[in-house]
Amino acid sequence: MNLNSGERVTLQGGVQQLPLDVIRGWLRVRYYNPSLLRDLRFRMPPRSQRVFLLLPLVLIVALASPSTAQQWDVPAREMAEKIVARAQSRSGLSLTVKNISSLPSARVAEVERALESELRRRGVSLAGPEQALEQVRVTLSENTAGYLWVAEVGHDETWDVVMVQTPLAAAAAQSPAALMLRRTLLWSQAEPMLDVIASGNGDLIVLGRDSLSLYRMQERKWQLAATASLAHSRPWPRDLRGRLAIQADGTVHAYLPGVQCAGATLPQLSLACKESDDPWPLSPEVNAFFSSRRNFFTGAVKLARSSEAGDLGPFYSAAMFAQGEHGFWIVAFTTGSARLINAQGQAVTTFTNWGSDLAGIASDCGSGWQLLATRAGDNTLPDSLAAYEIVNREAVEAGVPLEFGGPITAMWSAAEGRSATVIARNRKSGEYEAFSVSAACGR
Amino acid sequence: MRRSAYLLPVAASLLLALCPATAATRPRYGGTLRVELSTSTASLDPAQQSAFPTSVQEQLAALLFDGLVARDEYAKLRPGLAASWQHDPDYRRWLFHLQSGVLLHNGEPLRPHLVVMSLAASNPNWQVRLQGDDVVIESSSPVPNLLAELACARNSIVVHTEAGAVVGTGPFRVSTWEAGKRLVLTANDDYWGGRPFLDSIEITMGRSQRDQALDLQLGRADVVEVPPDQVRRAQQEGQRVAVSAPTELIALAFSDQPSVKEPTLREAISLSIDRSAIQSTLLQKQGEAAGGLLPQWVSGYAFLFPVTASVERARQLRRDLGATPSLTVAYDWNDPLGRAIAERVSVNAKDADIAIQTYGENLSARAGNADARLVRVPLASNDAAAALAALSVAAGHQSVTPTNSPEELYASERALRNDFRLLPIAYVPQAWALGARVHDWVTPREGGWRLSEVWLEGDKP
Repeated sequence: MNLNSGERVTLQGGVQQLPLDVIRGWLRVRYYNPSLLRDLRFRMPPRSQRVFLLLPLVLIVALASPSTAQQWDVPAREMAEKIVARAQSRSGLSLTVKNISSLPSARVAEVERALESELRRRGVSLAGPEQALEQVRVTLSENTAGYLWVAEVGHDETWDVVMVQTPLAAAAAQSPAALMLRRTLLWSQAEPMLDVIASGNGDLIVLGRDSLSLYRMQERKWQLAATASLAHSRPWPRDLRGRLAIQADGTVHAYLPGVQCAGATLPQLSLACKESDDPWPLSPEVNAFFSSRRNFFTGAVKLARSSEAGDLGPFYSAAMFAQGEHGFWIVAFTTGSARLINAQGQAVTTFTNWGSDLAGIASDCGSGWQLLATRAGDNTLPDSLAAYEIVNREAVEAGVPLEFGGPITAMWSAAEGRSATVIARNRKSGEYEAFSVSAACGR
Repeated sequence: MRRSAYLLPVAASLLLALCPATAATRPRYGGTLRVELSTSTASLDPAQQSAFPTSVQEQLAALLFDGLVARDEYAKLRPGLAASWQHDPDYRRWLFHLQSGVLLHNGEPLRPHLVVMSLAASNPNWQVRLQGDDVVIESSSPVPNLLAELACARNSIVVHTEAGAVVGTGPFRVSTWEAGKRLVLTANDDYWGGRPFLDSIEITMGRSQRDQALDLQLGRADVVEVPPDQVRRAQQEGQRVAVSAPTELIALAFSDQPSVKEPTLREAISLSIDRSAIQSTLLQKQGEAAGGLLPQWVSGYAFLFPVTASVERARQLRRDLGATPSLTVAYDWNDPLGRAIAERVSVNAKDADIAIQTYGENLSARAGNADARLVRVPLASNDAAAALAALSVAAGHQSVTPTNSPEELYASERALRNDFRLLPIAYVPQAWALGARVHDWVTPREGGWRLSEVWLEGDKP
């Protein structure tokens, strides 16, 4: 199908119409060459500086990572003191340890050693069950507050019970696997996050439900420097979405349903919010209107630098994709399907097994562009992020998907175009975790 | 041939266009969720709940009302109607700063004095008052776990209008209410926490388990109950079944009748019950045999309470008592599992020479004069102290002293249990079978519904 400029396109499904000029405008030649992405107006520190900025964060995570047997020193000491206080004497005690908690068996031995050591330090001589005058039966249990160690001290029908509560051990560190997609943890917090972005001067800006927080690196730790509240008169929609952008002049923009905020991070954080239905940036050249009371784009799109507009029909996300001389948009509609729209404005392919969030990233391998797509499925399930190459209008999965321990709640292409900011909820910890995901392409 | 080659891609594209929309990660708005229940409730007012509130009453309360504090699906305490709070060093005085702009279902703003009235009514022992626009709760003894208490359904903020209606601030508002039969809720568009994805929920009560299973199969219901003893079979049949942790206590609750006034008799009955056998056979190994009043996953020490029967000891106690009358135990006539357990208790008691007759009655009406009732009590909180406090009050005792020490809590539970007014038998999970169009159904470990997050596959975005 060939169309003339100004004609409208009807996509598959028959309801979405878009002027051809708008679609062509999305796919301007400057985007066909990934190297030109560096010219885009969003500013980021040079790569080396970015690595330097992330390094302390990685160190902090490493320092907070699961401890060794030393983790049991304090509860073992407390438990030993309680046992000694209840025991009739310090000789002839037998110790048995039983695990009914989620503690891995390898770590149970650590607990047992720590307990034996603490008891001996208090002058207790341990004996076998047959020779023992008194028994100490320790059960490693668990409750909603963490691990609960329960010791029954006594013999025959006479038993005393003592307990020690101790926090759950951090999950074992995952060994890094060789992945085509690489992720770097940017930030994690208990409260929901909508977007995370690095400011031009190396600060970390976190968009939450009700506030925008500025974190500054001090003494190798991210410290909260300032918080600005996001004023809004109406309740936020459920499944709240929001996006951050930093303009060339350094101003920070926060886009939320029916509300937009603008401000600066220097010399101090300032933010002014107003009710606004202005469109959000989809890419540097295309804006899209977001429903003020729902979780999707209405479908109305317009070029950033002109008044040209069109209507796609409601969608959750859209990713720009370029391949040689050809350009595409892939749009995840609220109907549950994603469609590939070519430069002629035609919906040429429908993809039905993706989730609602798509993002395009540039890389130095393959076609130079990869589409990132979340997995279809409920928010109750673990999520994954797969990279695709578009070959002959078909999506071909590239590499091994990145697995996440919970649903991906937000994904936006980063301003520099080579990564996407992904926010996922860790189902185990309940924390929201923001990652920068890029294509490592086997290097 | 040429014609066929041309038609093939056209047909393929048509097929693509006609393909039903697949599940998308991001929730969609709209639709009516149809829920069926075997139990029923005569009132939506939490203040009019029976001593042992049912799971249904607690679940409905969570849809219609909010508390000052809420729990998320990870059971972490989060701000509810209170945006923030602070307390003095010894936890006797708490101050809550309320969210602004919260509207009641009748469109009126939720004013701080209404919060005070609601909390004072549900907690006569607390001193609740206003301080400016803030709410202050004071207690003569330290209340370190007050936040967990406030997150319980019984502390929902309920406003009684002059017309006698009950209104809340919850994510859904009442559209149609036929007491004990049918409830239709519609989404609260102005909900402070964000409008739910569902447009409405239609709840049919008093539906037999057989009819529920049939309605789910025929697509006439989206969510139906699965009794604990049917969970395994439903899973084996390939049904989508959501199961919580063991959160519902099946227990024998003794009345104040003179016939069961003697604690030794109640102890003898307790010793005669073979809880392990009930769990392995009648419950098909679902849940856990309950020797204590709190489940193992909440207290961490439940394993210390024995669950096997001590028939010899029970007989000895029975002999020491001399003559005793035949006792009656009532069960909910709409609960086949409850009937089976009551009958097993009767058989166990007979082994200890204690005569028990069982019969079914409408337990929600509480009209009978049974010596004991087989009750199902939902876990009020996943905070052990708050849950035990709620059980203690329901069993007619004074609330246990709030504590964060597991040893003190164990001592409190032992004291409560050794009164033998409430004999724990088993903890069972809540289980639901879900229709294909139901998405994002989360079963929190502590049970209950999170219907604000649920969405339905459909045409409307």
